[in-house]
Amino acid sequence: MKIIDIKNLTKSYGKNRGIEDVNLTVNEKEIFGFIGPNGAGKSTTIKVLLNFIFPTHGEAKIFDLDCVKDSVKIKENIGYVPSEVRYYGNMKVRDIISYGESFHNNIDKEYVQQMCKDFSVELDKNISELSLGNKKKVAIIQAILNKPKLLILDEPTNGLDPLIQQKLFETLTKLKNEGSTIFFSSHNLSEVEEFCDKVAIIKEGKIIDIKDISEYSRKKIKKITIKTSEVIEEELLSLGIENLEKNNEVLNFYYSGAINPLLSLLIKYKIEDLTIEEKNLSETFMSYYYKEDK
Amino acid sequence: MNVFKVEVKRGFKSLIIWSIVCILMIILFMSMFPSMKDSGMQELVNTKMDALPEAILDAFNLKDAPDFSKLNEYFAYVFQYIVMAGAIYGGILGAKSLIEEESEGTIEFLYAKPISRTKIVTSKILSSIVLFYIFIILMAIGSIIVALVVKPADLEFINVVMDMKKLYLGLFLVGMVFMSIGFSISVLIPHLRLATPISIGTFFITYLLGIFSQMIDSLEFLKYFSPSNYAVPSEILKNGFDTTNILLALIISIICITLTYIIYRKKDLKI
Repeated sequence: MKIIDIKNLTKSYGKNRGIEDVNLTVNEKEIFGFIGPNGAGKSTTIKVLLNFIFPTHGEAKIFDLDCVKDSVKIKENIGYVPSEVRYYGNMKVRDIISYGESFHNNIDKEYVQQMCKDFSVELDKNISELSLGNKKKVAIIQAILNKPKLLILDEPTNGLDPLIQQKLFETLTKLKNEGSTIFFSSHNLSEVEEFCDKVAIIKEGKIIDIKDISEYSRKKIKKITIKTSEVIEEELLSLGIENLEKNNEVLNFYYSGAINPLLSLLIKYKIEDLTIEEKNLSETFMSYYYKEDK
Repeated sequence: MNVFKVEVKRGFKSLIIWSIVCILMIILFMSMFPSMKDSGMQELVNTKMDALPEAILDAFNLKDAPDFSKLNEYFAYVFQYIVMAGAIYGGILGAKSLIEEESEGTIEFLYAKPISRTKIVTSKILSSIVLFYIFIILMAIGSIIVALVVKPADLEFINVVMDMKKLYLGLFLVGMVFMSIGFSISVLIPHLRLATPISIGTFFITYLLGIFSQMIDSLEFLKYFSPSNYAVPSEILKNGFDTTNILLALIISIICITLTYIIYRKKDLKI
């Protein structure tokens, strides 16, 4: 079942770029990472999903309901953690959580209490007294207190210490196993790599690629470095290598084909040095950015 | 209902501050009443006032030469300053109501919850009205107590209360108009920091129009553009409410509130 379905979504602001023709599908029980540099359009997309802003063209659906017309109905079953948590400063944490609860029926109070304990949230402090990370924790609690079918997080790990980050991802994984779908934006590549099932990469308002991470890891891209004084680039390129770079005698490239043809090619030449590494996802993403920049 | 309650709670602090300041104003003015009552003082004031050009008297609603030795007339004079304060408070309440959540980012909490924009507007409007209503009640109680203290023995308590009732109804009317204008300001301005200056500006511009309308005969029609003129305290006490003014107040409020709903339901929230 499609949880999020975005079709040809465009949002243009006066000066700002916004997003252009975004297409995206998130399936049930997926952890979907949405990554891109700052200002690429991640938050804009999320704001359209939550009806904070209206689309210029195209449509966005959640649970097969229209994000503009059925916003209230959609929100009964979602949770949202903003990138920058700004709450009513003079309210107590306890009050903001019960305020959050008051919008939903059938709140499992014990579950909420347990979550507050797990995240060591200080209930009796005023919001204004909390540090960035502690505010984020409150935001996380109030986003999951209704056990949402879909959890949307905008750069959730910003300002969280590593321990809480770990706790967050444990919770997310647990929520996923209980049937929730998770959509989060980030510019932290390693967290995306570790937790997501699927990743969409956005740059300058456009989706550049959507990758299935499991499929990706099956493909096993190698990062290969060769030192040789001979000219073998032409032959390498015919094997289907990517991102070839040459520095003096050192050749750098990515290769995802079969190993044997590569070895039989190399064996014909005098190779001074050879390194074969597993290329991790972060590098794939970085290569996207660089490729586009060139 | 939950939003309404939280909003009333959040507005309580400024409500108390406004009430205290305004009640202090009343106490200050009314404590001068016993000396005003002295016949000598009355003469003095009247001579001074006769010396003033008529236009100035018009501008400050002194045209009918209020008799400051009468508690009601004196209070009505004092009360126009309270109306000013109340109108400004109402205007600020309205102008802050919706833009505050956007500028402070709290709308990201509220609008991620299952609540429609219509309901957000309704809760904000109702909570602002209730806060303003409480302000009026506090002020009325304060004024009645102060009036009791300085009341001359020959004045019936019930008359004081009845006059107060009229005056505060007038204040509520004027405050509501400025609050409604404030609501539309709140959906139009790009940032919270503009809310207070624009609502105060609106008040004083319309107030000036009212003064012009009284000073210059050919500009008399301008009085309809000045909501503070819809309930001039001394006139209410003398002649009661004017139907045209009440109708105008209602029409302006309805138009502004409708506009607020329409715009807020369609606007991109600025976060």
